[in-house]
Amino acid sequence: MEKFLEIIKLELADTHSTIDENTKFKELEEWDSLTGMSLVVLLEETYGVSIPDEIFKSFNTLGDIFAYIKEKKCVNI
Amino acid sequence: MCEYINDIAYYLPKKSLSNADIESQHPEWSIEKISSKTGIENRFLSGVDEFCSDMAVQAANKLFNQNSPRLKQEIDYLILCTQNPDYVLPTTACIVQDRLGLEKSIGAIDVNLGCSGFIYSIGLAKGLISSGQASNVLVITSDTYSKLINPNDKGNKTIFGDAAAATLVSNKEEGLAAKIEKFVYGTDGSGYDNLIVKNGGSRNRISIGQDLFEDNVYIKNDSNLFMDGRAVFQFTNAVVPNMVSKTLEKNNLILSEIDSFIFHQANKFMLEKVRKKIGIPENKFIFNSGSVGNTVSSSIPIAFKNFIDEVGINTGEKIMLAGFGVGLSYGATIISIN
Repeated sequence: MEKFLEIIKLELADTHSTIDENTKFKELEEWDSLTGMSLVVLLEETYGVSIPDEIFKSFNTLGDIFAYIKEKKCVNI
Repeated sequence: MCEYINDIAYYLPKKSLSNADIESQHPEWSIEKISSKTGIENRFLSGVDEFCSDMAVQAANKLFNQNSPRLKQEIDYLILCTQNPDYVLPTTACIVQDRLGLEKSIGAIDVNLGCSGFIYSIGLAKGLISSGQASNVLVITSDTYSKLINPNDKGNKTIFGDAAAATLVSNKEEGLAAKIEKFVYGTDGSGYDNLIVKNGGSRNRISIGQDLFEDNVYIKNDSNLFMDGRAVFQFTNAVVPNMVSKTLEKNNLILSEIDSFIFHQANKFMLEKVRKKIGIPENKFIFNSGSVGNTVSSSIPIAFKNFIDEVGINTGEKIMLAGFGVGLSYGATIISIN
């Protein structure tokens, strides 16, 4: 989870907001559609897990994204 | 034999589309926030009666006016790169040959490529010269993507602008005398539908598309430009770093020996991601297209020309040019300033 949150922080251009698994990422000031697009690409590159648009749209918290990747990856991340 | 880019001129249509204009059309679109990331504040749109050949002629005449009066008669090949030809047929390059008053003995072809098109076109020009088929090749890029964008498509409206550029590629070392070195090309047609206008070609010739919305958000219309931004970003992020390495290798150079990198000016956000991934220093990476947007095939020559005019180039410098996008297609080369 720590590594995952580091990636998110980097993608949010070193956000000043405190983020954890309960963070509703779409409500962050730094969030926009470009950030979303870039994050999905970066997560796929890092974890080899592709997140379809409609699935990504259904996520609310960072924990939702993490859980999806963990489930698809089937190993500890 | 060597081949050189000796001069570049470009044309921008009169009508502009500012961020404020887009905001008034789409108040729900956080244009300022998006613009701060894409780096695009303005774009130019071709007029209702202004098409590929019109813009191509404007750019070429500008090039002729800033060169010797003999140049027009010395052009022996015309390459017109466009994805927005005036007609399905004939080749728009033939129309431009006539309108420019170029010799009837010249060769004239269209190249149907977008964001990689300038690289491919100067690659072809180099080949024509080095094989002795031509001496002075006029390369024109001219695209009017704005005519393909659906009025509800605020995303593509924010990114793309219309423009044309004319570049003189010659065997004579004159003017800029920017020597064209070796090329790397790449194609991945499996992503053909990530950036596409489905209707209007032979397959869907007379279909009239319908606007498709999801949750009141415009998604697509097959008669208009469709771009899967995520897929295109993914492609760029995956192929460009490797293309840069291969181009350096082919030209016996290392990254630090390149003085400036002028990539297709897609948008600042995507370019920054790619720049960081490759490890190109910020001060060597050129993005100067905030006032014109992503002008597709003309984006590299416009950025190159602006760079020359605003920053200047010095003897001995090496510049990497790289294009990537619709196709999906990519290509890169090195330019040496003599």
